[in-house]
Amino acid sequence: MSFSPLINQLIEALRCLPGVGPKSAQRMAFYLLDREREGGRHLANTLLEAIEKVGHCEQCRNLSETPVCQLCASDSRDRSLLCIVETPADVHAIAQATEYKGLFFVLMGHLSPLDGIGPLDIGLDKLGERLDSGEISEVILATNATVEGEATAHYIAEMAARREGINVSRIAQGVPMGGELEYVNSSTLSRAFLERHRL
Amino acid sequence: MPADHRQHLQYGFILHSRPYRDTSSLLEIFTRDGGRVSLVARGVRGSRARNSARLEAFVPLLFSWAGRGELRTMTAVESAGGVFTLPGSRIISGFYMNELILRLLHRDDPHPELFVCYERALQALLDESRPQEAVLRRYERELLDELGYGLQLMEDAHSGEPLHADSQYCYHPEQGPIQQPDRQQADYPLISGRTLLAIRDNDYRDPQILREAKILMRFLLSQHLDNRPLKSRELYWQSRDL
Repeated sequence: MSFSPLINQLIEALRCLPGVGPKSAQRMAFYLLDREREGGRHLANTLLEAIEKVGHCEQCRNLSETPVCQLCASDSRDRSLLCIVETPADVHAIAQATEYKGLFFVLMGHLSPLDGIGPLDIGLDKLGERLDSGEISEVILATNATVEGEATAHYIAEMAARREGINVSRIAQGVPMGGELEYVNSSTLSRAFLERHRL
Repeated sequence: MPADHRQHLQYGFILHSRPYRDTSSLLEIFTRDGGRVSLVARGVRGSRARNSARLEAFVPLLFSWAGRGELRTMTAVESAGGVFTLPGSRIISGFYMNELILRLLHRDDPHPELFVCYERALQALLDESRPQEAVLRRYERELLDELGYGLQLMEDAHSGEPLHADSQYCYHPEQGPIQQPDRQQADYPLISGRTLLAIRDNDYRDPQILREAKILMRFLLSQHLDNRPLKSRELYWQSRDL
């Protein structure tokens, strides 16, 4: 069954959201038109404004509506620590879960040569300038524990090693909290064993 | 109608994986008995994915799949045991090995012997004390052999004389080494007899030999890559001075 053109268009447009198939898109469209017109208008305006105004922070590449994001502009952060992550969601996760007080650098991806993603595509030229500024004493590599994440971490570690006075660390890997050894995959377990620490 | 390619617990590795839709991946895999295969793996990504095995390159896995046509559907996957966690400094070499297979092997064309070479090369890359260039040169030679473009490392292609360590040869891509007395007009790479013999014996202890072998392998591989450069080589080295 087909709806009027504009409704169809709305359903089609909603499908650009992750996890939204034709059925959910249809439900959303009817809900907005039927019961939540005010909310829908608000959503549309906010979306438009965000898309126009949100860009990338000049310093950390994270999403930001100001040229330098709040975190980078804050004077309560330790500016000698730089944590490197793949996505804005990772910044949020680390900020929520840890006491980390330093700054971030967001790659917006990882090195993946077979997909044509090289060092310049993930802003490593910008990171190089940042490392040259002399402000940073420790780089914490918090890229994903995937092969691409590891390759990226290694590449950045080498960049940092070419500059004097920068320590490089990699976040620890191993058995998840609340995890039972039996169900942990063998690579993780072997890494956890290799990197065991003295008590 | 093509036959249903149902396969059960095939030993192999992921060469490349690409996200597909919200929770699925498109996998290019290299299996011992089936060669290169393309699979769609559903529901393997995201927080609700339940995989006992790590679905990544360089991890030995057992794949089951079904389906007709080029793209099969993965029905199950499990760890084949053993761990190949390449050190960070070696991952790019692993990507390079994978890219060569993706570029040079046809789908569904089994190469069990090349698979053995691939596995041995990965194993060798794990050991950071072994120079990775030597591992890659050997792998390239084995790959060319397996594809039917093997190097001729026994005799002069024109005179039929055995190769001499202290002679200079011009390596013709189809015929093989041709002695080059004077160092003039070489359309193809000039390689010393010593290097050719070392390639034959997989002996890469001398840095000069490694350099020449690299030039020769690069030239020979480029003959089969249709002038499209390898991305793993280009992109990684494009900006080493960052």
